[in-house]
Formats: sequence, C-alpha cells, structure tokens
Amino acid sequence: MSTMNLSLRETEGQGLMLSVALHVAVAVGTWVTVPFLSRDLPLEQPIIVDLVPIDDITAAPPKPAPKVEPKIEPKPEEKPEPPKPVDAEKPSPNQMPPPPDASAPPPKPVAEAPPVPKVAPPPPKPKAKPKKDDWADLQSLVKNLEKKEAKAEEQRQQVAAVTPQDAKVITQQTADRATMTELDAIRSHIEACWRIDPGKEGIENLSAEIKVYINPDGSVQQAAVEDMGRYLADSQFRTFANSARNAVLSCGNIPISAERYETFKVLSLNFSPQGRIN
Amino acid sequence: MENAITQTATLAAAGPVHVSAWGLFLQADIIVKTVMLLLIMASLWSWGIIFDKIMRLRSLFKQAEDFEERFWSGSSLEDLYEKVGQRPKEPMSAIFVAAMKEWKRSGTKGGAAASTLGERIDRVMKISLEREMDHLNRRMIFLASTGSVAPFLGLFGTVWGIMNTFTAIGATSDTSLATVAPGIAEALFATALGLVAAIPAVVAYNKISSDLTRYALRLENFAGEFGAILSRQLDLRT
Repeated sequence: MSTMNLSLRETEGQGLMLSVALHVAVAVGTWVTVPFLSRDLPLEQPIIVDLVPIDDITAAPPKPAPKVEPKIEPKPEEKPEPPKPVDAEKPSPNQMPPPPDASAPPPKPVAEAPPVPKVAPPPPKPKAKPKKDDWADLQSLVKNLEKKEAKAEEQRQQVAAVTPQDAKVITQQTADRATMTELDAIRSHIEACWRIDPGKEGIENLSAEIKVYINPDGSVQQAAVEDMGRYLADSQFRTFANSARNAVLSCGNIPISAERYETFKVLSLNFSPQGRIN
Repeated sequence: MENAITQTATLAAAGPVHVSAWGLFLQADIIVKTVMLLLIMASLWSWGIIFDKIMRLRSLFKQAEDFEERFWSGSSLEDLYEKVGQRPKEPMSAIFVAAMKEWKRSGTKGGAAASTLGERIDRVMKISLEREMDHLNRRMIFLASTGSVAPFLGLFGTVWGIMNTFTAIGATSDTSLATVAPGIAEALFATALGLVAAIPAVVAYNKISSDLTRYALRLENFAGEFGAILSRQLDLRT
C-alpha cells in the first residue's frame, strides 16, 4: 500500500507539472497566434473641429434645442412677476379709500400722508396706532422688497446654473454628430481661408473642383484645378478657381489624423460660391 | 459621481483600449478577478488530475496485462506469490497477494476452518479490490464538480462585470460603445474561462470514469477466477 501511495504521489506531481506546462503553452500560443486577442482597439481619433460651421453643414437643426430653451425661459418670466405686485402696492396709495379698513395697507397712507387728509374721516383711528407701526410697516415692506429681490436673484442664479448644463447637453449632441464628419473638418478648415467676392457678377453659377494632394503631416503637396479647359478659356472661372486654389494652398496644414491619412491622401473638393465646399 | 466621470474621461484619453487576455484581467473588478483566478486554478488542478489519471490508468492496464499473462502462464501459484513478494505494485497483484496470504495462513493451521476458507478468501479479495478502487477514484469528484460548477462561476463573474458596466453607464450617463465595450468584454472573459475550465473536465471525467469502471470489472473478473481456482484447490486438499 505504501509503495502505491508513493507512486501515486509521484505521478500526481508529474500530472500537475504537465498541467502547468500545458497552460503556459496555451497562454503563449494564444498570445502569439491569435492576433485579435493582443491587438489594440483602434481608438477613434477626436477631430479638431469648429463645431458651429460643421453643425450648420451636416446636421439638421437640433430638435432638442428649442425644447430646452422654452423650459428655461418661463422660469425667469415667472420671477419678474413677483416684483410687480410691489409696484402695484405703490400705486395703491392713490386709491386711498380701501386702505383704512385693512390693517396692512395703512403704512402707505401714512407714508404719503399729505394726499390722504381729504378723505380724512376714516384714517384718524389708524393714525394714532400707525405712527408707531409706521416704521415697522415700512421696514417690513422694505424687507419684503429685499426678500423678493433676493428671491429673484436666487432664481436668476438658478437659471444661470441650469443653462450651462443644458448647453453642455447640446454640445455633447453636436459633438456626437461631428465625429462622423472628418471630411467636414477639412472643409470648414479650408473654408475659413477662402476669400471670395460674393457680389461678383455670375458668380453663383460657378463651381470649381480642386484636387488636393496632402502630405502625411497635413501640409498640401499640390492643388490642381480639375477643369483645365475652362480654366484657360473662361477668365471669370479662372479667377474663381484661383481663389479656391489659393484657399487650399494658403491654409497651412490640413487637420488629418495620421491613421486616416490613406483615406484623405487625395481629396477632390468642389468649391461653389454659396460659401461651401463639397 | 464626479470622480467617476473624470476617471472615465482620463481612461478614454489614456489611449487605445487594450483587449488582450492579460489586459482584460487587469481591468477587471476585484470580484471578477477573484473569479478568474479561481477558474484558472480549477483548470490547472483539473488538468493535473486528468494527466495523472490517464497516465496511471494506462500503466495499470499494462501491468494488469503483464500480471494476467504470468498468472495464466502455468507456473505454480506459490512461485508467483514469491516473485510478487509482500509488496505488490498494482491492484491486481495486491488482490492476488491478499488472497494468497489468507490461503497460506489457514493452510498452515490445518484444515480445521477449511469450510469457511473459501468464503474468507472471497471477502479478503473483495475488500482489497474496494480499497484499490477507492484509491483510484480519488479526486474524480473534483473533475465532476469543476465540470458542473465552473460555467456557473464564470457566469457569476460575467453578471457581476456587466452590473459594474451598467453602473458605470449610469454614473457617466454616457452610453457610447467605448464606455460599455471594455466592461462587457472583461465580463465575458470570465464566462470564457469558466467554459475553458469546464469542457475538458467534463470530457475527461466521462472518459476516465468509464475507463475506471472497465478496470474495476477486470479486477472483479480476476478475483472471481482466482477465487474459483482456490476453492477447487481447497476441494482437492480436503
């Protein structure tokens, strides 16, 4: 029996060692032979984009935006309202008759006492007490005013606090949309350099196609006008095409990412006078 | 919450997501990591058992073959007993030795207990056989439970990882694939490990246990035949 146990133990050690060897071999084998397990995911390169022009070009007007704004605006409108009652109270002294009955109104009659006397009969009673209350009432009025103002300010601050968040939401949405338009980034980049006289005669019918060859670092290697025949024959077109070509050449490095270079190596851009490049 | 946001932000900015097996392991939550480690250890141990059992069974079948050849070669049982000696190396000779010991012990005492000797020899052989089979069956239970439990353990890791992912989505309120994908990949990795551990364990368990049954049957047959031979001898002796 004892020998058996001994031999058993020996083979067990062997088995475990074989098992470890197998696992290591499998791990190394997977590492080496199965490429997808060790490859890095291509990270989508964030593009340097002017969001505003891109949004105009590629995206339909964002629907959420109008919804968001009305929500914010009603609140400020409500806040202005509270102060109004204060204004309403001020005119009240002119309509003197009612105040005497109510205990709260008296302060105003007292404050603007001179006009009141004509309607004198009722006031006298209040007058005796009010004199002491005058100050208290005035003060309470002032306090009320201050409170309301403070409230309004708070609300304004709240609104201010709310709006940046909403703005963030909107920009996030536009950013999402912008990610698909790397080409738009290039377009807007060049568009910014394009000087064109929009008032020139017949210019709205012109459009020039420019072929752009780009270096890996984004600099422009060459920019050629496609329609050479018209370029030579038509002076108007020539001017237009030259302005487009100058825009490409003068614009400095074009914002392309190194990984996507192959995609944008040669670009065919169509310049038309609506201020757009296609 | 803000921390979570900045974290994911820095994560996203840190560079490409690494999807190698090692990268997935490193990114995982501590519980998922534990699950993965458990599964890897289970896989290691079960493969150790598989190798051990397969090698052992192969040598056992070969030794049984050799022993039966010698047993049936016609030489006397006494000679064989002396050759095998007191320390049998494998179950079949162990059974043989156990029976021979009993036989000799009663033989020297004289025929007083002859009537019950056959019975006793059978019992001794049966006990010896059971003891040997018990030894051979050790650790098989680990293969069986690895085969049935490892997928569940892996699934647990996956569920936990996906829960984490959803929590992260909730915290960042960002559902872009870049936020969700690494977490889910890491979670699914746990299930993959569970299956990797379980499949060989189940297959090997089935194969090894059927081999063990065959071997046990062979030992039983041998014990039966040997018992018959001894009882014939007993009849001759009396």
